[in-house]
Amino acid sequence: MVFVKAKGGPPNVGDPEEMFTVQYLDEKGNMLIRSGGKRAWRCNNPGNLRKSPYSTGKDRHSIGIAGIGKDCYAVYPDYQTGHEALVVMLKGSKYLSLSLRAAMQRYDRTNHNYINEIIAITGFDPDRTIKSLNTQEFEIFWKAIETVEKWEVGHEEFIDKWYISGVHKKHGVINEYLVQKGDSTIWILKEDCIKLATENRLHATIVHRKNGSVFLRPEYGHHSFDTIS
Amino acid sequence: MRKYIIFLLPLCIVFFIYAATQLCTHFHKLKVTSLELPDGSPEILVTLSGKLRLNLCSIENDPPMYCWFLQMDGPSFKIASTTPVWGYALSLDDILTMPNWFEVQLGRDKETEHFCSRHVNQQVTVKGFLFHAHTGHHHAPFLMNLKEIYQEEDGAKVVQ
Repeated sequence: MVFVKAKGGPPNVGDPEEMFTVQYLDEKGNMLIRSGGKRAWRCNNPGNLRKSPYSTGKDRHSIGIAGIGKDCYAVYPDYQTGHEALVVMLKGSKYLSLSLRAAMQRYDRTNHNYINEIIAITGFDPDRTIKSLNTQEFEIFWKAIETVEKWEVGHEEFIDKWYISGVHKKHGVINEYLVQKGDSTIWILKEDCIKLATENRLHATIVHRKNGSVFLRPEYGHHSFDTIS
Repeated sequence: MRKYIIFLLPLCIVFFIYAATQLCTHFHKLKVTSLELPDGSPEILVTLSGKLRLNLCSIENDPPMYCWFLQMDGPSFKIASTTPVWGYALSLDDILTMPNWFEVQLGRDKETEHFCSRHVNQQVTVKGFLFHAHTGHHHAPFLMNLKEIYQEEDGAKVVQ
């Protein structure tokens, strides 16, 4: 599944406030909600890069942002894209010439043991520069960062977006919609369908008439609903 | 005369739209990129004043961690928000959307720890090199590599 858009959602009931969920949308509007685990996994962002012109720039292919208050993170479509954002940052001119110690002091201002954790994993001399690491050593280095940043898988919930394939009319007015849920179809009352469309669970556009009545019509470019008697 | 007006008016409109677009693009670029120091340029030493605070900055279920912050006064914020910085700079828009846009996160080390704990919630001055938040461990839009921290009233000072 290829995700094209993502946004933050509220935390699950019982989770701490900062444990935001992340909603991923594919091209068809189907949604995947990630909750629990660690934010690196929820955002496909193994380096835990904040929302910034770098992390959300065009070259980094981020698909949205998620977070609460001052803690907003870039969201990437998959692990590989998020991983590349971290690697490009470390290999970029800003970090490349720094020693591992100086680089980690920039990377994490909160935990001054961060460099010790990296050294414990890699066994490198903290005064070596990032530039001096060869390809294998650099791989060990970024893997150590991703380990310290914690990639912990949580819970995924898939919510597909349904299609309306037909309508029932009573005295010329639509009262039910035939909704296609994956392989099965089901008749749903108009009011319930409008509710589903409001929650973005249906491929339909909500139309509000001047007289106050509301109805659904097909999305732009889609075929009109068939009337089934 | 009318013929000339008919001919010139669309030209004027096109020119006006073009000029306005160029101006907007220029200001947008200025707003977005002006705070990033070009590669190879020396970092700029800044002096900022404000109130020293100790805030909780743990993430999710991690053990609680406390960090020192400087809550800048008005003139200091003006300096911080206009100083080009090392690394991946935020735009002014990004800075102002953070609820703690007026704070600078300071490092935690043994030298400054003693000074900070004696001057918590007091007015202090810091000197150092600024950079902007770009990882999840950065809890304020501005961060500082501290070179000096002091309080004028009691003369206490830490130099690194």
